Amino acid sequence: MSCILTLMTFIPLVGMITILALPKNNDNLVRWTASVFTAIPLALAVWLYMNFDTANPGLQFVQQVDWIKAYNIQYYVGIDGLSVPMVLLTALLSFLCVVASWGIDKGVKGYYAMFLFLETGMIGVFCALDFFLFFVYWEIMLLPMYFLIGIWGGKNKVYAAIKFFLYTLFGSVLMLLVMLAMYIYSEPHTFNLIELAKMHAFVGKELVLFGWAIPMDKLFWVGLFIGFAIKVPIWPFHTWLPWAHVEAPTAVSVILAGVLLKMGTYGILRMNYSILPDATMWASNFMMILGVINVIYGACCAMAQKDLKKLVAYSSVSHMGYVIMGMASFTTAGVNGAVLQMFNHGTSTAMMFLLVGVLYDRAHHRWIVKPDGSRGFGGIASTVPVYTGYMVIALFASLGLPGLSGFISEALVFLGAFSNPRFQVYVVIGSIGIVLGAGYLLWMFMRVFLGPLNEEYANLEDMTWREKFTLIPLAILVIVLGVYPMPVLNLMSSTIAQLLTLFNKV
Amino acid sequence: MAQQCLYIVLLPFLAFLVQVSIGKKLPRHGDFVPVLAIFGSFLLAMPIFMELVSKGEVHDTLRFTWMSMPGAEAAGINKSFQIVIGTLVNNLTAIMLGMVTLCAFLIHLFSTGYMHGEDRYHLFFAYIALFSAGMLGLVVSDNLFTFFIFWEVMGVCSYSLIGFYYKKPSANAASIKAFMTTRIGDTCFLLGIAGLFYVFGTTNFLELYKLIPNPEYHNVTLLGMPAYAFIGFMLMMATIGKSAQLPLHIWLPDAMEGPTPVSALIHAATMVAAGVFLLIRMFPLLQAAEVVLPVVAYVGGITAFFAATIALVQVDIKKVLAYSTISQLGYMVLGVGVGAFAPGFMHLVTHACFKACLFLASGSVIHSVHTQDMREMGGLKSKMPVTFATMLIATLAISGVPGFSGFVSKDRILGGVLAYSMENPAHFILPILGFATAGLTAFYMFRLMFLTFFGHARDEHKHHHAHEQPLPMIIPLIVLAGLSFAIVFAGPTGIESIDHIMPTKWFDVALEGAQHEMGIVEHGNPEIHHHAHEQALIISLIVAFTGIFLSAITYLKRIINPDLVKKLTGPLHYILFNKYFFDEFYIGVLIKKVFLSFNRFLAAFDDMVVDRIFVDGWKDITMAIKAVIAKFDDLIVDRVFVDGPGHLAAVGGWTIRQLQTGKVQQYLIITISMLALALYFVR
Repeated sequence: MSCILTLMTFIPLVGMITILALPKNNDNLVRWTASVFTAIPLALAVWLYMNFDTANPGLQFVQQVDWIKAYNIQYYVGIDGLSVPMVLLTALLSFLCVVASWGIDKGVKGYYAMFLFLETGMIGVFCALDFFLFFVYWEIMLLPMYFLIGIWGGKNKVYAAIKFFLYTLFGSVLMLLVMLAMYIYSEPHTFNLIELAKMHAFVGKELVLFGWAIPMDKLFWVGLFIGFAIKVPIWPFHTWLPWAHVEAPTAVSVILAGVLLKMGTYGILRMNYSILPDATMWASNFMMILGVINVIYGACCAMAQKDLKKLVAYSSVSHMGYVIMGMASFTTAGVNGAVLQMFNHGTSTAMMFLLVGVLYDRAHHRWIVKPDGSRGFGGIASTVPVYTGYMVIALFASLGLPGLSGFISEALVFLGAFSNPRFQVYVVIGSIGIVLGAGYLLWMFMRVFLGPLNEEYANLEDMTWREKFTLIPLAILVIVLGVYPMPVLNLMSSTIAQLLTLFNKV
Repeated sequence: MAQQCLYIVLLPFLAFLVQVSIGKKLPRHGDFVPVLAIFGSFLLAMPIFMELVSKGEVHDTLRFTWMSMPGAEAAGINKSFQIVIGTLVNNLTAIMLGMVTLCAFLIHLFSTGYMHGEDRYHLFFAYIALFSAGMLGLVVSDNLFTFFIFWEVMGVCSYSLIGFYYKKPSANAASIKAFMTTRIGDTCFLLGIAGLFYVFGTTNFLELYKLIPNPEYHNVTLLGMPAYAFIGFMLMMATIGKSAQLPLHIWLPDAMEGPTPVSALIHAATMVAAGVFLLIRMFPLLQAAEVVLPVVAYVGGITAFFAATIALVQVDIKKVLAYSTISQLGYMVLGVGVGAFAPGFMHLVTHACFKACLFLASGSVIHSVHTQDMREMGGLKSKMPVTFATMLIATLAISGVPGFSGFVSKDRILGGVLAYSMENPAHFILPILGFATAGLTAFYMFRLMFLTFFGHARDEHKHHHAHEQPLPMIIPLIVLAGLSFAIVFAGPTGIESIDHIMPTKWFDVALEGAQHEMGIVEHGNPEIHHHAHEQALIISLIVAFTGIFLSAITYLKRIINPDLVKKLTGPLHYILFNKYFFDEFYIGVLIKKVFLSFNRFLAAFDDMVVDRIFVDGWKDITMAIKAVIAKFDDLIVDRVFVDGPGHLAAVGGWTIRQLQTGKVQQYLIITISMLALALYFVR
């Protein structure tokens, strides 16, 4: 089954075409079709998980076909330990989000068509091993995302969508330039990421720009890094995220936080780390500092938010900071923790956004504190106990409670980064984030769920079966991986060990 | 035995799962499930404990790999990483297992009566079952990593149970305060663990005991200071948070918002003692670090004294006990700090029993009179004879009266402190704090007894309705009071020179074994120690009885009028009553004024500066450029070169304007055509 990745990538696209061909005014048919076409990649993902050889650090399920021969562009896909957790996460979240979007009744056909198109782009990005192909998928993703936010979003949807689009496009342009430059300066010219990684073609060379000779690998590194940093998002490129998250419909927020952010860190690992290891070493202090800033800045901003969704959005900024810290540590525990954190943040934050969406569907607002200073909710734990139960799991998973998944990855990041003597100070500073994280989440929980009941919400309806259906798989993952993280760690650890051989000069 | 420990932990955990999922539907809301489960744990723990008592030593381990990640081939910092976890049964474990399972079982039993008819009754039992699993897990952990995990599990149970009456804003505030304050310590704990992984590559206790004396590790530095000292201070911070020591003690008094059995189990007998247990488990490291222990001693000594002074003037019966707990924990920390490791541990165990008894008895009183304010009590002695008798026994124990358990452990700690200051005269303040606290303790505990049970009823209505409790609440009181006698732990009086006639030495034997296992060497001159212990005995007897006497003439006989004393010491009383204004400073100033304002500032900065200026600013710049080009187009190109070439330029301007349409499809097309163009040139 070497074509499995191709199947996973394009089955949603087939689904999109099918949906467009479906008759109008039959929304349920569209919804079911979309579920089927996202369920198939999920089933394939499960098969992939079963058949993935964890001992093999290299690429698996490779498919390599010439695409545009003149420029040596190939359709080259394959996965290794870095991408497989992300592919699994994407397939899972896409399916759950299709189910979670059941309530959307405006332009259903268009919505699901865009959604399936988005899934193609996402899986494609994680499988692509040719820079050109990667870039195409990367850009493909933008378009449906733009429409999903801009059409199905909230009050400021157009502003948020444009902002998201232009910001990401700005990153893409940098990436594009680096990609072309890499192609030009590699010998033989290639877009093949694996070849580029083997070549070490850019070390020690210089590029003359406006009369300045700039070390080529460092220049490339910075260009790629900014492109990816916007996606992560790394401070100070993060401001599109609260807007996009807040305005996007629930399912799209889930995808944004659960998958799209990880593309940034995945890209850094795949490109910056593999192709430009020397420049990565050069920039590691800088990355570590940015990681620490993300952790603390995001947490402090989250503390001040009055909108529940914005709080979760800033918490993502904070949590992605741990990923950056782990990556920058260059230690076994740290990098494993970072990739695990990518996965775990995907599940826990998806739960958070789904839950916020559930509340929004009922109350039609998300204020923790209303703009006029009165309380938005309060005491709803007594009216919606099941909902509160799920919220407790999501909340404690995000604040890193042992026994739930977030803790393992955060702890690994800290243990790893601390075992690199260069970064111990940063770890001590970054650990403040652990305290802050508990602060904003519990404070939110207190103001929304506890205390005397706000009578306005005395008749809030508890979770429906469809909503539970979307949350249960995530809750199970959060708990199981919190108790025994090896099923996911096993997938990545040998690839990471191989990746780290590049940095052994530390 | 090590295998057995897994079941000891799992039983209450399974009870938690049952309670959460179907507890509400079971008869009696399923309260029997956790009670039976923890009783099962108790039965499983007993053979281990009895083996320790009969043989004087137990030892067993069970280990398995939890996480492992292969490293890069070459060594360096990228070596493979693994976390091996398991259970360790040694003398300390066995004693803790016996104490925790018994206390937990009794308090579960008590709760069936105390919590009867409460809303969310089944969840209460779910939480305390999970808590018990957490505490037992911590006790049997053979490494600091799982120790930390269970430590946090307890923290979250404590959070849920303090906020059990979640409709009460004060309970919610207290729960969040407890979690956040301890979280500061927990974060330090995690850093300490990270330090241990960095230095030793393991957190397994037995391995650490072997590695710590090795000079090779001794010289490692972390953040510019000796690694041992760094780790030691981090672990000390963890203890300060969890065991509510100064300056992070503020959460424990507020934690009394939780139901009283919770205060007894979590905030007196087990969780708060876990902090001290951490210091005891890691004692070899603290001792090797040298600089840490004196700091620990001062933290403990100062906390013991300050908390005791606050307890003098509180009127809420549970608040008095809360400050008393802080003070007694301070004793344990002080004991560990001066190297009196065995007495410190002993005080942990004896205190767990008598303080649990005190809390349960106070719960019995509160349940009966429906108030926590001692000014509304009085004269309850005849109404609640069993509660009174058991509480009196526990009070005698905590006050340090010979024949009771608290006397033995406290006297030994004080002996250790005195010996320490004789050897290091610079630390003369420590024994002063210690003995002063002993006197204060006797005073405020008897004040509590006198105000609650003696005299006349100050609230006739409440007094009239007071009644003795049903059996499930009485039995735990009796058992715990029984454990407050000295004979359980040492000889019948607890005074060594008398007791050698009829010794029951199991505790000392077990602790000697433990010290041997940990490789702790006793410093100091045995003669000085002997001498110090004799002196300490006399002084502690004098201060204890002085305290009781003063308390009696003030609150029982009313020879000294307490109101007059209050008036005379006006400002002092005011400061003590307001707990030295710690809360006002932390919450009012640090959090509300500094921290939250900073966050609001940062969020505004993020919105106004980073987003509006740095990001959206580009829009304004583009717009300005566009306007300039348009103007240029209009004024110069169009007007000046009206004909011919001007026409062409106008088309150019139009093209640029089209770029600003905000239509994404076009942006995408432009990107892709740029790409195509670039490729064309490259070729």
